[in-house]
Amino acid sequence: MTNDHGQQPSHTLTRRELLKLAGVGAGELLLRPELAHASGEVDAENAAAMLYDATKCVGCRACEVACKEWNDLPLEAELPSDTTAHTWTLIKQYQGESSESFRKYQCMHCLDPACVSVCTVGALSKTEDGPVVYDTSKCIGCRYCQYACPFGVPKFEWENPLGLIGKCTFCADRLADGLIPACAEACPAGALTFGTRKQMLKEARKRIEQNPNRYIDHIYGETEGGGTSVLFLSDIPFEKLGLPVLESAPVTHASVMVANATPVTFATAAVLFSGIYWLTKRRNEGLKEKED
Amino acid sequence: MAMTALTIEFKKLSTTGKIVLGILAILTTLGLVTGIYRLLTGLGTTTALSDSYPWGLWLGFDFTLIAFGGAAFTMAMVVHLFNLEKYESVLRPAILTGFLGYVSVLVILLIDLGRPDRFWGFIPYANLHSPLFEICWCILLYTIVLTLEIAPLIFERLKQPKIMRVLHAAIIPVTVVGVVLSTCHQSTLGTMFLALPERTHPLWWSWLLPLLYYFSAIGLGLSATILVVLIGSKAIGREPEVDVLAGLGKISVWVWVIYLVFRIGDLVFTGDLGYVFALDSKSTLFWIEILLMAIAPIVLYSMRDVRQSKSGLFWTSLFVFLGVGFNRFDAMFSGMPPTNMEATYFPSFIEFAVQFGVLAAAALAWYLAARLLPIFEEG
Repeated sequence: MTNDHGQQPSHTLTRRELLKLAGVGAGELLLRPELAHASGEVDAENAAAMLYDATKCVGCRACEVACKEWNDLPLEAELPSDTTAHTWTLIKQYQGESSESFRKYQCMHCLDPACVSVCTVGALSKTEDGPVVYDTSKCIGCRYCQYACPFGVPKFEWENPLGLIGKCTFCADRLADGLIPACAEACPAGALTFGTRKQMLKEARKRIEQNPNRYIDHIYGETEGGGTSVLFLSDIPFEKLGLPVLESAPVTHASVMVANATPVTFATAAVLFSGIYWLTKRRNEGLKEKED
Repeated sequence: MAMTALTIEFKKLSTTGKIVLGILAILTTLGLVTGIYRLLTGLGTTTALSDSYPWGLWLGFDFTLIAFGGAAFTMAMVVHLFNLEKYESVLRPAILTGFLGYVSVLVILLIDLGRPDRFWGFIPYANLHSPLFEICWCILLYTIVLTLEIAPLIFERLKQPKIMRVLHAAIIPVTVVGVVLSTCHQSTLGTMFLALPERTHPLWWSWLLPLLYYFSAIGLGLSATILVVLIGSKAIGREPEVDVLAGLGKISVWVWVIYLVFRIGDLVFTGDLGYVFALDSKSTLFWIEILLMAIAPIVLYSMRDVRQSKSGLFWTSLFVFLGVGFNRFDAMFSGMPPTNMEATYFPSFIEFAVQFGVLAAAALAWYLAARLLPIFEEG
């Protein structure tokens, strides 16, 4: 279980590619229109993505500072050990078997995000450009997104009587102006590379091929939870970096399937219970006639 | 006039009765004060909730109370849709319980929201994929249905035959709408956890969750009716309809048999049965809830002597209540936070105070309604 990543071939077909090859892509879209709808799947590969190479990260935290500055986030009273509603990215150090490694915490900007799927009011959404963004004006503070995110990304302003969620926006405002995310721009070690998802996957594969001894033979985020826009390369197993082992189906695929069936549930229940009423009423009338 | 009648009734109360009412009044006041304090100061200062445990005691009680309030739709279904007239005498207590249960849930949800000032947010802003969006709408609409179902009691007391006739004519369509809405949101509470496979232990995660939550809401609905009729009768000094309640116990047996077949069958089918016998804390919790919510009613309600006695009915229905409560809380706390895994959660004093305050207020309202309205009289 701990290291089955290592055995995977460097280029695995994603579930979607497989389905498309099998000629059932249209069927897939019919069955699960939300995939295309929620993530703008059609062009996910050409939307913004970022590659974090843990082997290049030196832990200088320039990304944290740049994030705070660009997003105008208040400083914390004491250094947090985890991201918070006001600290959207954080570098942590992890111990592998023989070496140490850094890991950058931030929103993974999933292609089919669980937070977007469960958000009661649609305050969270995945944009065509790639970022998962949050509309502060819609949020009611139910915190379902916090429970649903497998990476524990959305954080809440607990000290605010009218608290909201805080999370990395992939610097959506910078992307719109043709800039790259503040953290990627600030990184002096070349650990953060920005581009389209297609380019980042290609780049990651190239690095693994050129340095097979340096990397675990897996790109984290290529398939996890339906794929993410932030991809990871590492020399120690990804679980050791605190990254969850996820299936290739989107985290909320089961609930979305049931939610899509809601109109059917409503109609079935309405017909069923009206029918039961009609039948038992006739039965009772029949019984009464017999008694008379 | 009603007030003088109440004063007379209150004077006739036993010392125990007065003490119980006094405690409920104190808890209600404490809940009101702490609830307002929470709204003014925020969740961080008043609760033990955190980014690792964003949901706690309040949400757990909401899930349990919605199933408890299932008494209303279950009994409306039994009486009006299955046309089992025998049970009409306990329909009104069940409807009242549903109404007060749902109002309590709405109050707690409001206090639990990060932005209580935007509680209406789900009306203009929709996310059709969100189980919680569907639940919000169903609960809003179903509370309106419950109000329509409660209304006849008030207009009967106010002697308004015209309004009574209109409400009476609407009973069947209103009941069908109520049962359909309940079917949807009770099962969607299961879908809420279906969306959390990474945060829910396999013993509490299954594709059948919507079905399991629905059947357990019917099961608790039946036992909740037994419980409130027994306690309500005691409170106002009347004899409960033990024969009728025994019939509900008998129906319960079948509901819990179906539940158990689905719950265990699913674990066998998915190969997760091993967790049941893992002898760790999760399997212990699983056994506690299964014993209380399913095995206890199947065994005890099957015994004629038990279901024909007040104490037998009381304890069995209390076990079901506790078991379903365990089930809803277990599911919520069964998984690990994705980061900061060593974090723990235990509710703060204010969380308890607000929760018990709302429950005490509901109990007081139930008592007053039973005194003032024709709750225990057939319409």
